Amino acid sequence: MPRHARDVLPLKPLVFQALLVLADGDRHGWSLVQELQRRHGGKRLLPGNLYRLLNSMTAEGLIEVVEPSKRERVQAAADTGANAERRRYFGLTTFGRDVARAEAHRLEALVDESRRKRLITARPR
Amino acid sequence: MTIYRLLLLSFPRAFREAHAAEMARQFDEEHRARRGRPVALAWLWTRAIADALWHGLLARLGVRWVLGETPAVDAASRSGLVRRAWRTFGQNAGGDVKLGARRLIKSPGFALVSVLTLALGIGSATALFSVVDTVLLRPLPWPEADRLVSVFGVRPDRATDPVYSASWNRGLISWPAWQQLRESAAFDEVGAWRRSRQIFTNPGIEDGVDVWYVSSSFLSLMGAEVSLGRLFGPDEDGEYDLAETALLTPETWMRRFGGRADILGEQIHLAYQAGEERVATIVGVLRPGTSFTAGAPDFLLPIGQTPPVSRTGNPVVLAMARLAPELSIEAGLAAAEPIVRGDESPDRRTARLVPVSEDLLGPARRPLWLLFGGAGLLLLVACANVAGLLITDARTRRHEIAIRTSLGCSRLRVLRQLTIENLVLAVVAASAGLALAVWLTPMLVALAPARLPGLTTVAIDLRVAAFAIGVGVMTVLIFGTGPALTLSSTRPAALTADSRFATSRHPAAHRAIVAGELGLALVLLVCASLFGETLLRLTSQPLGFDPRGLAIASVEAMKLPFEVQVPTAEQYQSMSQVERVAHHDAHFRRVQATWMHTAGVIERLEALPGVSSAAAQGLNLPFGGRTNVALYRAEYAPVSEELSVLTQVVTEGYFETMGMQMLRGRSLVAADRLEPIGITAAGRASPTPVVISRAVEQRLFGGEAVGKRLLRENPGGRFLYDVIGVVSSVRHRAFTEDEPLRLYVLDTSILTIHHLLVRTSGDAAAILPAVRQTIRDYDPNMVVTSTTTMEELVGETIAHERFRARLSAAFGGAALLLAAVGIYSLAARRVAERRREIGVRVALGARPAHVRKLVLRETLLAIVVGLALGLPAALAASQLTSALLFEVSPTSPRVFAAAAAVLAVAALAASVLPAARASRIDPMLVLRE
Repeated sequence: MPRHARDVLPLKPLVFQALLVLADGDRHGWSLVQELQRRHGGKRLLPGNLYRLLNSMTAEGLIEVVEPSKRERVQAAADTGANAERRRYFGLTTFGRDVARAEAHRLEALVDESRRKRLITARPR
Repeated sequence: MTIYRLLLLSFPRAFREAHAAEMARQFDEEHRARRGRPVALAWLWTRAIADALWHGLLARLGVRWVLGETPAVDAASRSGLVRRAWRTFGQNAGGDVKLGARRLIKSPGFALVSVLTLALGIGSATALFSVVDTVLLRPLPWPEADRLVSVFGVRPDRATDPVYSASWNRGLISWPAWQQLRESAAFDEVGAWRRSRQIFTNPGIEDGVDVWYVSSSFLSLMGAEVSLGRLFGPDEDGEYDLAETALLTPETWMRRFGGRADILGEQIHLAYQAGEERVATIVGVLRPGTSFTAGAPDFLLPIGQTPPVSRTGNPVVLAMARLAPELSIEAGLAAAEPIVRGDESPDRRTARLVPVSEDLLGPARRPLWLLFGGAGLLLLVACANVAGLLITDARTRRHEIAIRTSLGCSRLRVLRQLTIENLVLAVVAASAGLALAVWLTPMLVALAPARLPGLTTVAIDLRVAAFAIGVGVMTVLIFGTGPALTLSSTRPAALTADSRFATSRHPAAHRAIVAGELGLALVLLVCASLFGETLLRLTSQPLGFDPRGLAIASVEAMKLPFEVQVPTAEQYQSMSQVERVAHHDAHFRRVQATWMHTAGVIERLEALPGVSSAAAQGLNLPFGGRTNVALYRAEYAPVSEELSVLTQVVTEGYFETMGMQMLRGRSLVAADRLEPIGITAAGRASPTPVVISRAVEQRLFGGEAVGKRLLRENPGGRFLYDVIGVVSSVRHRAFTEDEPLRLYVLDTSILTIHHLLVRTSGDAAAILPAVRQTIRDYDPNMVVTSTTTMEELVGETIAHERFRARLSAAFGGAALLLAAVGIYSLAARRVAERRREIGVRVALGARPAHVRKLVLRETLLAIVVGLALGLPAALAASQLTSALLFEVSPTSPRVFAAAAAVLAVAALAASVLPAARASRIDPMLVLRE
């Protein structure tokens, strides 16, 4: 399904957050949810909500289920025991990365405009 | 997790196959993180159920979750869904609200009874919820409070000593132990503090105040911050010779210094006893809202200001610590134990670590949950009552509903109307309940024992309001849905039958509800009787004295006109005879002067109107909270038989003033005191006459003690005491403790008077101002630090029991009332339904007595079933209370029989009126209808 990244903008904030988290590397669901909760200021994300999100993102082609790298498998096994082998890892697709980039540009443009109109004054750091 | 897997069935199959295992695993992780916290678990489950159902529905509808703007197909399906839902439930809902309000206005009887009943249940549950919420559910107000522990020094050898029954395992630790704990890796931070009662003597003020010596680490553990100035620094923890500094609590700042902003640098004058004086400079004011684990002080001073002499191995400070992250209590204890024990053997001193939450809330948790459960039961009774009312109401509306359905109204539409009507009732009742809770909560707080943490901050806030509204709506929906469902199934055919005389379809349902209500009321009544009986048994325990009409003024002893240096044994030996005579003379004059001084104030107090006698005593006032003991044994007994005895210095007339009973021998008289000649550091020339309590006689002598001698031996010498009398044992701290050992001696060489006791024939509280004034007039140097009555002191020790008894009695009474109303409405309804039948019976010759019996038989059945249901439930509930009872068995047949009898009588009484009305039915009128 060849689509342009602009077609799916704007993203829901949570989707963008998830893309940002996955930009660092592949993660399994539980590790993703913990990171998202941390970013969300501790707001709880329950399984139904999370996996419907992941399901939709997969369906849109933003993310995909990936084979975990060996290092991550070893790490995960050390973390939570043998169970970790069965975890499914999610990673960004190229399209997902494009979408995240496009969303970031979109937001940047909005921020720039707000700054020009002196709604916010802080200098970019 | 199987249950959660079942929940996931709400998702489409493909979704489940892809994600169910991972979802269950995530839920499992969340679940594990809350293990052992039932409230958090319940909340997780609630949200997880909502989460699974809602997102399962959306997943089935194919609503995507990705884009900010929904794709067209999703929008269509979503708006279709919304439209369908609106058509069913939303359209013209305003009209139904109006109908609901009109129903309440049109039948004010129904409205009043159901709203009041629900308001009573919701109000009491909400008021208790506000207390439970603040005290138990909210996190403690200190940073990382889950890792805070109290470190206690424990004296296992004192475990069986009645004097130490409450304090042997909650003791102090030594200064060096505190220093070593700070270096231990097991603790992030260790704070030390100690309390002292001092006199605040700024010009124009003389008052007893609570002064806490605290370390800088203690302040940081408590998350203390200042609104003015600074906190104590670590350098103030150790140095004794720094200038004294002080912190004010916000309350002291407002009350004693008027909240002035320029307070920093001002000086306060404090003294341990009158005459002496120390000055400290105010360096800061704590921020409002700063709270401590154990009450609140008036002033805080750096712990470094405690004299260096107390920094030896003696236990002098209370310790509080924050455990290192991820460290268990056991590991912390293993680290602390050798440090706290020091050189002592483990059976003489050891350590105990108690999480602060456990220390503060442990004993309060179960009773509060039980009382909350009681409020819940009351709410259930109220709900049952309203359910009964709704059933009755439904019967009268069959005609109306039948007309509606015959005009083409769908069942769903009828259901909606009834549900909205019930919701209107719920909102009105919940608002009334909330108003009741706003009124009840301060009463509850005033009744509650002051020792519950956080009690002062209890208030009705949004959480509590949400609880009230939520409970109200839920109860009415749950209990109103049954009648609404039944009613909505009314067919137009009901119009053809004469609905006025049709007996309703569910008399059995109503009867079952009323029976259940009676059962619940029985549970509450049984618990109330158990707690009431406990209070009664407690207060009828012999105290050993009469607390009624006894006023107490606590004073800081006056400065003596002259000082005497008591020589050591060697010094005394090396004195010349002339020097010895001079010493005895000085001592004699000192004793004489003090005696005259004390006798003077007692004489003035006895001259007050209504006062029958007055006396003075030193330390160890019964129920006074402070304990000071010495070890005694019978003369010639081995050292191993030594026991701690509370030594009380008293004036003659003490036993009469206290209302104690002289069991054997004679009382102390003036002659027993006037023997100062011969007092040396090495001991008296002749034994001091003492009166002992019955417990001393039993435990140290094992029999008749008058004429025998007690021995006290310490590094200062051997002291002998002649037992001249035995008095009743006076409790020291609680009604239930073992009789403590006490010894009374006339004021001789120990010269400090701490409490003046005044017995009046009238109200002790009323005479307190006069007592205070009399003492001040007599000697302005005598500082009255507090005045109170003995009944108040004694009352504080049973505050928890009294709170439980009163509250459960209120619940029991309310449940009884509601159950009576329930029975009444059942009986009244049945009479109304059977009017025609009764009319026919009367026409055929039934006597009024027969008719009454007919009605009563039916309520009797409900009562019997209710009691049969209630008894096992009450048995189970009473088991939960067993730890809180005193001298009452949780299965006491007397209590159960009494509660059942009260309930049965009330229920029968409630059905007498409908029965009487039934017996007056005129057959002519009924048959003509």
